[in-house]
Amino acid sequence: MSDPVIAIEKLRYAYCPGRPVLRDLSLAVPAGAVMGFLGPNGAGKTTLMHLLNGFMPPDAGAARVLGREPWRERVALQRRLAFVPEHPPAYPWLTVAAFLAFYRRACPGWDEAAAQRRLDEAAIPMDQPCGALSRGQQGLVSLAVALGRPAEVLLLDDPTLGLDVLARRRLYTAVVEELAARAVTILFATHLPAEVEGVLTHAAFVAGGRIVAAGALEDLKGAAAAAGRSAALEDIALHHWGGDHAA
Amino acid sequence: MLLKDLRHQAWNVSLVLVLPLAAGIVKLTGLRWGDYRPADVTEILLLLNLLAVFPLTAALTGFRLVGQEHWTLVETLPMSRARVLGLKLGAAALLAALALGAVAAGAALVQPIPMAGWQWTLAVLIGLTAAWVGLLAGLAVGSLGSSVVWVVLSALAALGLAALLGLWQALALCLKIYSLTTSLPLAAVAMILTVGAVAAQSALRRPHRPVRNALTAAALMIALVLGTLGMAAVLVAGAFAPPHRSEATFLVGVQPLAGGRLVVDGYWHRPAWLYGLMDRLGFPDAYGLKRTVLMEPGRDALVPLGGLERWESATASDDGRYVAMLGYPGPAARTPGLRFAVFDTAGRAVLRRILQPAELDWAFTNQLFWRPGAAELYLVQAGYLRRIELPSGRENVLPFAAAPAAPAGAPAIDWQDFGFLDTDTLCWVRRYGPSAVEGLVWQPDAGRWESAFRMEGPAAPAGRREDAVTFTVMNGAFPCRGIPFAGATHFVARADQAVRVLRLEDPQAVAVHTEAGLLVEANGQVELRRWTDGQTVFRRPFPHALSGGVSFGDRALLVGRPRGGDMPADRLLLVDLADGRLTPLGDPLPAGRVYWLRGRHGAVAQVMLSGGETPILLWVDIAKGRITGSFEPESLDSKTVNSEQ
Repeated sequence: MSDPVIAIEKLRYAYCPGRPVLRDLSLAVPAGAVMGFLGPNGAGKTTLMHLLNGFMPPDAGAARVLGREPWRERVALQRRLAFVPEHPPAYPWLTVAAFLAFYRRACPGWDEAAAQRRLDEAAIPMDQPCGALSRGQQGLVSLAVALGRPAEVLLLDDPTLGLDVLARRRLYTAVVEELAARAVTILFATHLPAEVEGVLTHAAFVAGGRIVAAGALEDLKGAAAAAGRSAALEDIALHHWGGDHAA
Repeated sequence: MLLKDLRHQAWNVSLVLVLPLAAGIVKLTGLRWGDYRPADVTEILLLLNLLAVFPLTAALTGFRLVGQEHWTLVETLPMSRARVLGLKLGAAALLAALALGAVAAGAALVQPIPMAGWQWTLAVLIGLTAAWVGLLAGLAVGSLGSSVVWVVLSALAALGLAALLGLWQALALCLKIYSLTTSLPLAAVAMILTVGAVAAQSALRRPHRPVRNALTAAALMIALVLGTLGMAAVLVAGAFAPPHRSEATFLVGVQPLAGGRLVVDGYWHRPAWLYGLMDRLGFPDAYGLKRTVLMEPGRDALVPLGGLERWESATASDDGRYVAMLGYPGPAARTPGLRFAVFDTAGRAVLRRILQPAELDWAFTNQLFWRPGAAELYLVQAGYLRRIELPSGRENVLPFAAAPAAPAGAPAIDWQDFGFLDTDTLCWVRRYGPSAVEGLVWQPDAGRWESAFRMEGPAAPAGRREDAVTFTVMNGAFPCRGIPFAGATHFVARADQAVRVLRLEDPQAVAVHTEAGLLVEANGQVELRRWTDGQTVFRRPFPHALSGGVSFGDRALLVGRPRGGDMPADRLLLVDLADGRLTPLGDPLPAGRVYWLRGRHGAVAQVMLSGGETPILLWVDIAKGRITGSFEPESLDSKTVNSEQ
């Protein structure tokens, strides 16, 4: 078995001393997987995303993405990584076209066609300032620029917030499937398991800052069924998050 | 990223053009604000722009660029934090340079005040800082291309507006006063400060820590502003300051003051390439800035007298405690007009004035003179003589109008001079062409000028009237070169309570003014003529050509050049005024130099040796009859000679 693209070992991080958000979190994401990082609000999903992006150093433990330590090798890693944050960070005063041009200059290997195609599909007006777009449109722009990057790993941090049903459908099917087809490893953080059930190959459930269950989706479903519980992803999640009211 | 930042923030530059625009409107429409005249309002607006609007604009621009960045987005770019921050700081400095350039351009366009000169200097310095930051940012990621682009942008920001407005002269001045030796270490310090702030920002910035991030961004901007503006301020101050060591100056003149201090005139050396550049720009200037400094022999520390004023004359008081200066404003001056100042021996200005040329009377040889033995200064102004007491600064005027009217039908005055005949007798001599000379003495109690002597000219004016006796006199004696009149030179002194006049007709004679009488050298002889009756006290053979002299008590110090010979050496000679006995002093003076007596304080006379490699000053104690010291301004090498000469 090949080395995991994302390897996390006993990762610990606290914003305030004594109140850790991540507690010795360990996880391995195999190459080509579309893994859902599923947790309730406040479970530490965004924190993990930021740590994997190298925005901040962990308090303890280690994380490696594509064999690189994010905090120390952030620049090199970001050449092979794409990230869609929870809140679209587009510059409000830049038009969509200028925003794309900004990325084109900043990111070597930029795939203009891929980004443009996604924007065309969503009918995003290129001459509009990003700040004038709706929240959902901003999310799509953010996603488009992530698709324009020559990434081997895509980190998605609850990117469906504010997206309408159609946009969410596009994201889950077209985008994720397209990237999966390009063998891009995807870590998909969300607190809505039901929406991503159809696109995931793997899932990891986080609660209390720890991974409580992780593995291939089929294995997880099989284990739930074997235990006499519902094999629906949302029910599995509720079970692991400690709110198990499913059968 | 650079284009994005510049596109978004460049409009801030236009903020600093608002007040110059308002100032222009005020100037054009002549608007007043209370008691302030339009020119005052204009100046207030321009200063407000420079001191308040520009710093706030620069700081706000920098803070927005650094503090309000979408770091979640930026940090997903394959760029190091150092490069991102370097780009942002560079953009902030670039925009600050552009804004300051706009401030200077606005000021220069509205009101051609010299202040714009140092504003350009600041703009250039900030532009240079932007270039440094950009270079660092580019080199940090190995992008030489980015560095080159940055330098070009910085140069355009710092110099572009000046070039567009044709303000090359101000820029050349900035280059002239820009002190590279001071600037490079300071620039390095500022860079270290900035790099340290960038490193701190890189290490401390965290997502979800808005307060911490805002604080580090603020600290970064403070470091940048302090580093840049502080460096600029110190650089400007350093550039305007005179060199503090002698090797940076080319000293051309020296005058002694009390306490062993010296007033030194010199030119401030700049690097040779700078002069070459200025030549190519069309501003040839073989010399640096002219400076007048105060120094103490044995201490290689120069104290500037004033700011950047170009002092044209320096006259020390008789007691050497003060030196009065008259000159022109420096390049950074805000107000036109001649500069008049009096400094003490510590280099402090005890009096400062700005005089318009029309306020002075240029008909007189000397605009400034001191009362012998007192700290009392006289400034010849149009229509009156201003008398200033120091250190109190009390002053009054001696009006010209309080003098007897000119004789009826007399020609216009074509020569006049002021001076003291002794410590109490202030004399004013007026010559009415070839027809008459009149000597007036100031009567302080009566507050008017009274006639002391009068000479009528011959019916037929002498053709050689101007072939006057060559004459040297020191220490406040009057007048410096005698009164040329009626084919002779007349010398005035006060003796036995009366004003006496001696007449010399020999155009080849040389005379020295002494208390005992007039010492005259002519035809290989030297003789002393008494003031009271003109009788000769002694007559001695004198194998020298007299070129200068100064007396103290019953002795006089003479500078003489032997007659004959290819390269005769000058000699210092002491003459006993009682019997005319001559005593050579020291060795023959080196050939190829020019010697003159600079003055006397008490019994000590100063002999200046100019020409050759460096000027040299000798101190001669006339009473003791020996050379007591020497001083070389170039090397500041001072010696005290103890041996009897």
